[in-house]
Amino acid sequence: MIRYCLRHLSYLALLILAVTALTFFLLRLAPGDFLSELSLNPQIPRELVETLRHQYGLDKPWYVQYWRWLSQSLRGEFGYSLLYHRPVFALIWERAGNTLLLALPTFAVGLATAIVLSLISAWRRRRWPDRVISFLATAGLSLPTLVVSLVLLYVAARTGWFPIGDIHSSGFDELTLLGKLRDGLWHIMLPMMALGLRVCAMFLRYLRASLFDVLSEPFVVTAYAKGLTTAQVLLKHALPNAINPVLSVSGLVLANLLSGSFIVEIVMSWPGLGRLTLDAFMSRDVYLVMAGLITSSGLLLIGNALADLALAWHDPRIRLQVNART
Amino acid sequence: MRPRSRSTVPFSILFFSILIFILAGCSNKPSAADKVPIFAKLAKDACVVDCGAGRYGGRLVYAAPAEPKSFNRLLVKDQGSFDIAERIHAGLIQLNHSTQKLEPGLAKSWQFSQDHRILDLALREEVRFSDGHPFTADDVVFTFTVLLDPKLNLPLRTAFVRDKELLRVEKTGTYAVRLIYPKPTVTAEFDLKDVALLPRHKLEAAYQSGQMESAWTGGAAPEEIVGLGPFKVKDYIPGQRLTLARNVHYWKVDRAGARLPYLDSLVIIFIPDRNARLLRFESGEVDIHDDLRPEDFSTLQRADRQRDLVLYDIGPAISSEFFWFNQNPELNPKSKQPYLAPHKFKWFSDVRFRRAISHALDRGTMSQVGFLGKASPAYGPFNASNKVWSDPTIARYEYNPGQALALLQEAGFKLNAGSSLVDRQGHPVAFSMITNADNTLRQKMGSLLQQDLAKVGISVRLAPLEFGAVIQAITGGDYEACLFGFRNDNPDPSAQQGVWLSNNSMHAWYPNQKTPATAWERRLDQLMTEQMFAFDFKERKRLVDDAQKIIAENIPIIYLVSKDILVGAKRKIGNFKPSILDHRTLWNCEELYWQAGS
Repeated sequence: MIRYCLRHLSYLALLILAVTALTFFLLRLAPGDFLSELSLNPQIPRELVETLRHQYGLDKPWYVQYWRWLSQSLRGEFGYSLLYHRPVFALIWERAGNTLLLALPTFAVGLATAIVLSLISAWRRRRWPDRVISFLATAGLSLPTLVVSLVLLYVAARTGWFPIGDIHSSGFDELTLLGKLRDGLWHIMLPMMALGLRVCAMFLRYLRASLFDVLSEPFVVTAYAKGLTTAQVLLKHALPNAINPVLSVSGLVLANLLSGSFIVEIVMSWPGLGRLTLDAFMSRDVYLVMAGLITSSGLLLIGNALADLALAWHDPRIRLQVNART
Repeated sequence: MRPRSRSTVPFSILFFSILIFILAGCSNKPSAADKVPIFAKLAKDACVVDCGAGRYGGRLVYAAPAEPKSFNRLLVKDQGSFDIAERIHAGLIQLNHSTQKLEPGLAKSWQFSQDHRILDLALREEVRFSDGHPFTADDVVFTFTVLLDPKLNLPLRTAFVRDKELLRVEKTGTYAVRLIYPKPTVTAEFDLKDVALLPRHKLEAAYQSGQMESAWTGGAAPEEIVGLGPFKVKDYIPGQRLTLARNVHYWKVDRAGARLPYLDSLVIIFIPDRNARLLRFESGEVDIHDDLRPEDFSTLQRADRQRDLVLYDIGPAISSEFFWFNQNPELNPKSKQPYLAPHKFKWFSDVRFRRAISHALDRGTMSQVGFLGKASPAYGPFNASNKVWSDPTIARYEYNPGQALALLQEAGFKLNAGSSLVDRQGHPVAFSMITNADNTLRQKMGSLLQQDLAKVGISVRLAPLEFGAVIQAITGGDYEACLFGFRNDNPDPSAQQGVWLSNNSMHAWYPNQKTPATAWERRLDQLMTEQMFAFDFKERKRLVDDAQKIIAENIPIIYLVSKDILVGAKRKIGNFKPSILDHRTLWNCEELYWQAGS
């Protein structure tokens, strides 16, 4: 078990190393740097720009900069944002909460909706409710998050039913507790729909297939033979057994969720990690970009680990296997 | 088969996420709006503002494209931080945006010595910072110590250094300061408007320990950020909004003696996307929008919502859109090749060619079609909006393709059978023009320019590049022509000094010249240097006018149009005086108020 973990961790370390090196290289390849915009201001002398460039180490080749960053990061110093003059993780920390605030409820609601819909599918197997749900799942999976976000935003702008972006209203501080809750829910609806459609569709596809598999197992026949109703069979016997494959793909869904949330955050101006990282990219704030990348990879890792744990906890076979091996 | 509780897993996840959501929502403390503002004791030398009497109370919401990077005005290098820092800080001298003239700020009066090297300033007495700490000459001395510190590399420092010699600052009394300039400086007063005064009691420790840059970042506690501006930081939620509250120690009163500011708070929300900013303004959530595009303006004009919105076209900005030809004759040190093909250099450096190009451009249509009429033709570096410095008598190049062709023929060009222009050696006249791809208006202008020049047989290839790539091309000298525009909010000629001096790196068409390449550039250098030492305004104006005439005659930079500044605001905002200078709408935020019935 420990060896397995170590191997996975070393893969991850290699991956992060490769991703960060590549990003450093690509950032360097693109024309201009953090100080380009400043150098265009007629009131700022060129010498000052050069001094700053030297001070920030931007005059060195990319591999020197990368090596410098890497050796400092290994000592736990991830550097300061060039733009904000603050430690990068202080900035990340402020935003990561907002990303989780969007991602976790989306994950939960997506999963819950998928469970309900898949049960309906299984209950009315191969009949029109199942067909409709199955079609919706395929549609949800094939629609890019960007398109969904834009369409939802358009609807919101035309109807005024939902706010256009942001996490709270500007007058949020003056609302009562209930008002705040309503304001928050009202604001999260749209990004959650944009992001959740895909999550729900993915879960739904796996869950439906898995439920269909389970329903053809002998123990289901036995259950029916014992005189249980369809509802009882589905809820008590089929669903708990069908959920295993879903838990094991939830890591994948999480990856999808995080990459999707980058798009949704930017389109719907949700102040999370995605927007921060994009801004950092646009202004070539190298260290902040790196921190953003590491955090996303970290979130992904934690998500996958949680999915594995949930699976082990839910399925005694895996739990026993793991225990036997260690 | 399984215990009942297992099937409730998804629901407990849901429950917890909702809980997280509620908790996150509660972390922001609610605040009661103070109906009757309680001000601290008024300064002895309060400044009386000539504005209409307003009503106290209310909250104004403004949408900014970018977040503040620092709350220290002296450290600021970007527009977003600047706009906010200006609301919470104040300087010795202020610029009135309506008149474009300087006015007393925290210095109630000042006096130059005979030789213009010494400036004595008398400070307003018994003024207090936003935390109630008294403001004295010590704070001014501290501010300049920070500003002039070579280790900090502050952008404003250069204004106070001449030939490596620094400005000296002396305290001559509790409320009196003397500035001793290394050389007489004509822009001394103008430079002071940007020097926001820092509280020594709050920042000295940070300065001594070398922590200046990290002292007033977005992570700082609001009560640590102290200034002399009309508002102070109350709450900052990164990525979302900044709430500024009234500074109860503010030192300005209206004509009736009522303390300013009128507004309880100023909320700045951050929306990077232009379209989202417009939508939120349209929906009424945002009260002011001061960067409308021409198409937004006409959409809003048509919309029903116009009843409670007022739209202002406050005239052309002081900066213009322009393009220039690369006239660098040197070899590229990397490739050992000339920056430009020799025949192209010959065209671009011929003043008749440049004048012909200028005559061939239909600036009127450019304004009408490219900007929906919300722009006006520009012919020089100081347009009519620059109230103090513009010279209406400079050479104008009216649209006249016939005259353009005549000039081109005079310069040895001729139209061939395919009606495209060729030079003496038979090279067809064609060049590429770079511009930044993110500016759609500029690209539209580029294609109009392409059409105009096609009429005189010149073929232009537009090359929209990413912003960074444009800068790389300009600084590397690797381009033929460039369509661009600076956002300049400083009407004083000194702000453009870098562009006109031939030895400067910003001298766009041929930077870093060792000796002036042409006679007129030599003359321009002379005039622009002399005007920096002309202490008589009339004399300085004459020198600047001469410089403008030289620029217009030789047109190294071909000015096209100046965009109108388009602003929208709620009708109920009182004392609203939008200006073409930055900040366009919040420059007088202490005077703004909500009229009755809003």
